[in-house]
Amino acid sequence: MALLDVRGLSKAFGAFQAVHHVSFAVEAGEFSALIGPNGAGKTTLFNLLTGHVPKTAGRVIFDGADITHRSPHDVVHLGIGRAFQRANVFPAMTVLDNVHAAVVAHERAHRDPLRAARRDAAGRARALEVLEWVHLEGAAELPAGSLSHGDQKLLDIALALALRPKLLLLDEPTAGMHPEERRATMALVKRLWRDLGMTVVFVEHDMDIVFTVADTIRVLHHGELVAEGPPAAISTNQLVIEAYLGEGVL
Amino acid sequence: MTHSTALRSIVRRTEVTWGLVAAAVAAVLPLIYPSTFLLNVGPQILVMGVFAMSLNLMLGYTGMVSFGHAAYFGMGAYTLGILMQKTAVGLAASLVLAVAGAALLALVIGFFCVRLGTIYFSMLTLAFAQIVYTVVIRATPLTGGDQGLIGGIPVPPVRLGPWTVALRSPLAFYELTLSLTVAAFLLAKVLVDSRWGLLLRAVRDNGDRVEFLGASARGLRLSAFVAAGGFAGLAGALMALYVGGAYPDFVYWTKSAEPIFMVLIGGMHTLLGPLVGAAVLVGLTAVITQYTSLWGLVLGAILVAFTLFLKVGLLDFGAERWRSRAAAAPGNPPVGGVARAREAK
Repeated sequence: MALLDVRGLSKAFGAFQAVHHVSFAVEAGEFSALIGPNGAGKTTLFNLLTGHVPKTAGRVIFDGADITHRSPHDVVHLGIGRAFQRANVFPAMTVLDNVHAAVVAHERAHRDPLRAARRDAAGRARALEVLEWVHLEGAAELPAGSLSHGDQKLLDIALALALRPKLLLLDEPTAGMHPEERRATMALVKRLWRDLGMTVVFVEHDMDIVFTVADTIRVLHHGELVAEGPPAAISTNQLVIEAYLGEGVL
Repeated sequence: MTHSTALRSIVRRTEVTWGLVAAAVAAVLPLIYPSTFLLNVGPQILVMGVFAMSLNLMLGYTGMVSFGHAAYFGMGAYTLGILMQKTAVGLAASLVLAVAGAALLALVIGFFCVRLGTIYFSMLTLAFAQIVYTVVIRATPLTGGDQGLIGGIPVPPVRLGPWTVALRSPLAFYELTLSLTVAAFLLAKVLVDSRWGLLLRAVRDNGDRVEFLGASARGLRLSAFVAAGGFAGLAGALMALYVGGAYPDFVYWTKSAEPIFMVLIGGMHTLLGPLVGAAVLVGLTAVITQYTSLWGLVLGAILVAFTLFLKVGLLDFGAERWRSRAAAAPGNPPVGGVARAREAK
């Protein structure tokens, strides 16, 4: 059984069909890319999956449970973590407090308001461990807002990792980075995917990266899923080439 | 432990230390220097300090700007006043019920308000507070209407072990208010330093992201709203005891503005900041009114100077100076994650 089963998912903003009757299944352990031109509906699709935007039609089954109408924070507890296109962190808090907050939220430990967060040795150790995964442990006591753009993106991913997700959705994890940084970041993400045994779906615009690292590629165009398959099949798919990639890109 | 971790833990401990030192000085001061002015203004500063501190649980720690915080202050004042004037409920129980009543009112009003963001949240808190004000004015049999709860509040002597303390004595009342202020400060400190407090700060920084971490930002906002309401209720109850009654201006919208000014003057990143702000505002008002009837003008000028030149609250300014001095100290530059990822490759 697929880990994530999306059936006939649609989202209309007024007359505009942002996502139109999209169906696909993400197998457990997949490392897959979601591509498509700007405005294709990739971020909206993520918003639909994580319950941030109400769905116009369709169903989403995750890990055997119907999550179509679950709230964003419920969806997180079921095992879907998410990082964002623009680094989405807590800028005035330290890097360690950022991840600690994620650990606390995940464990619902904030319902104990009488014990000092500082004394939560297990939670802070866990947060530090997650920071080590993304090589940010050296910045633990700095305000998150003082980090470089790339490091804030990694912190954003660390926030998602702290939730022990079964499925990790990464919306352009390398946006705004130099080509070299992009490759390094993507390699790091793939290593984490392997080490932590997650399922990863990522949005990425750098086609070199996509076709190098992804096992499966799905192509979204005008809100519709126009192609799905391994890189070799996608790169020769006539429909994809015409609709999105354009002649000569590959 | 890195240099900055050590510094942070010092700052953290410092707030409690400074708070307790200040409280000890304040407790001893009227014993060695009996001053009517101090015994008169001191309780006002403390009460308004607790009120401002309660607002700061929302404003500084959760990032919610309430324009209607007087509702909970008034709820505490009227609850205590009515209970002690019209029933046989004792002082301690009345204080507890005043806090509970204010927290309950905050739960009901907050339930609606936390659904809205930013300015709409603020306007709704103001609207609800004006409803509470109207109810207070109209419910004359219970509240005394626009006259307020007149006739004083009978305060029986309190037995403390072998001693019997008459709270009508200004010194005793001063010390009682001081002890309750210290207790409120320590409890609030425990709350904001907890994992709950950690998530409140996360909500302040970025509420949407908190949802994606699996916690309800709305629920956290509501819990901060209720806690702030409870502490405001304590302040209101003490104010009712101090003035011997409860009056509609406790609930009026200008009363909601006072703690906002105090937080802005004292600083919104600590609990002591609002208490300092209350001391400055209440203290200055008391001093200036002795010299001129134009005290509003003088106070306004001071506030403008504050806003234009300091730009942050007093304690925030101090903490910032301390931090930048520490940051200037040499240390290893932190190694960024992306750079490290590149090396790893």
